[in-house]
Amino acid sequence: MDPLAFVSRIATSVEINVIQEQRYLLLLDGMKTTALISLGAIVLGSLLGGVICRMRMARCAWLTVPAQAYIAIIRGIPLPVMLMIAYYVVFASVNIPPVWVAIATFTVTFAAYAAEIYRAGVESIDRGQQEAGLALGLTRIQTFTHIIAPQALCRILPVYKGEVINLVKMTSVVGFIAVQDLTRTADIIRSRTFDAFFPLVMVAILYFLISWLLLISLTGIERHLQPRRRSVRS
Amino acid sequence: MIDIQNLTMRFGADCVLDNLSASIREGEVVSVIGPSGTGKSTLLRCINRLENPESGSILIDGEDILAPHADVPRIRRKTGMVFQSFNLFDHLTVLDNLMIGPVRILKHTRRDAEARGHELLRMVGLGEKAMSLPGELSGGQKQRVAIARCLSMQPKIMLFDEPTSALDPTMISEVLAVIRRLTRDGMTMMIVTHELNFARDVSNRIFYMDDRGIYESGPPEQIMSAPQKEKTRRFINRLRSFFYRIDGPDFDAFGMNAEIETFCEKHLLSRRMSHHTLLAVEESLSLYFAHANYRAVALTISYAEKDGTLHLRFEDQQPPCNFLEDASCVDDIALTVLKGIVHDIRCERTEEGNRVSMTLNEAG
Repeated sequence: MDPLAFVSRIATSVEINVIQEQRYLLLLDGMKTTALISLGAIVLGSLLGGVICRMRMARCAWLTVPAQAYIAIIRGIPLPVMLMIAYYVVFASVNIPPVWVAIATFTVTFAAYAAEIYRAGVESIDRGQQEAGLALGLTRIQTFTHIIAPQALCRILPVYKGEVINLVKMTSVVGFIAVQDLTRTADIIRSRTFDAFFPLVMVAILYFLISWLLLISLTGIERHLQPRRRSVRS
Repeated sequence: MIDIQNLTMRFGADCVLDNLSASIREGEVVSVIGPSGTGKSTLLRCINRLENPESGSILIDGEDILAPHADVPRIRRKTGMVFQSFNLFDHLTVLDNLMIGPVRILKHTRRDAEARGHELLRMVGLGEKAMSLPGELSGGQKQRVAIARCLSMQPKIMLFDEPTSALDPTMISEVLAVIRRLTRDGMTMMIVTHELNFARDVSNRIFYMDDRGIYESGPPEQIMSAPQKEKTRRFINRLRSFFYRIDGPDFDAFGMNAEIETFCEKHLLSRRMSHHTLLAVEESLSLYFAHANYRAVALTISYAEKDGTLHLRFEDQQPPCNFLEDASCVDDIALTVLKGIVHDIRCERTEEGNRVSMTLNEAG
């Protein structure tokens, strides 16, 4: 193919799919929504996951059994189904924006996975570490925050990273409850311009870029937590 | 200093420590020895409440750490514990390992803690390793750091839970040297160890643990050289024994021989030694059964790993009789063979019957 013709075809596609009717604003909105749902769910879900993990690892059955049930149920239901249950059943009578419903659903889902990731991390730390902390005279909480958590974090992050990216990609199903995220935007543009290739490939690339940025920043944190780095202290 | 009263500890249905009482005075070094699984480590772990005993009390400086509302972290500070598996904090540098206690618990300033940390590291001979990570140290070095970490909390008593069991033989001495140094400084210590010679050297008192408690205790000379009780003696001499009951002349000789051979193999006796053992047993039994009075007899073979001697003992419950000297039944050939391979043949009268014992050793 003539390279010049190729470039001009791309330019036309950009013109039609992005510039016309100010579609870039639409795309930007979609991206904001995706980012909002993702970040909200990551932050809230990570916190809720901590609580679930604490319950799951408690010694008392009143805490472990509900936590186990929670994790089993959440992991056993497809996300779009859960999203629709949340929107059309649970929050049906309440008038709240669908974005909030989406954030809530993804938070709840992410928490279940995060809880299990945390647990695996904490349990992978040798019991001797805790005993050494306690024997030194640290309280249980101090032992956790100064000894167990920093070590567990290093082991959790590689898996956690994967789960975060998974979450970002899974947000593409929010179209089920009429939230206009990036994917939905692409679909809308496709239906208006009758060009399937360009908008879809474009959001695919956008998703990839978002994931990639997240991956880089989490890897940065991970590297920062490596013992070698920390030992060089001011 | 430490007063243990009526301590009972169970793991499920297993009773590990049964009503144990003991006390340790200030400045004393107590070594705890004994076979595996007799609760040595458990006892140590109860003292700083890493285990929760069923009942009893452990007073440390007059405060009961096992009391339901005891301020456990505070009482624990009086004790320092050195673990078999070192348990250094792997994410912290050696120096940070020594600073975390003083900074987080004793609320010392970082500067003070750092100075003290360097001092302690020099004391255990690792001044250069302050900025290393535990993963970069050898086992012996890790254990020395662990000892320094304990000292950073200025404990009144140090508990050592098999400090050299996870070490290469080449690294044991460097750790023992540090412990020895602490004894010179007058530190109160309780050491669970399998290094009997070390225990003899450093301790004021030795606890031999067996039968769910302290089976025998006393000064090292007594426990190591003249133990008063049977199990202690067996442990100190590293005796391994084999027992077989022979019901009469028609017993299963092949079965017994096979078991004796297995026993000899298990303890790595030479082929010659195991052959002699079998021969000695066979000839003795033929002498036994040549005498009409002899019926059931119990055979005990004990092997002392320490000096490589094997001891045979035949015990019966018959009227007094010495089959070696009783002319009516002496089988000359059997006796000659027997005397050729064993020495110290002795016949004694016991409360219930007769006991014949003899000794074999590698030299022959």
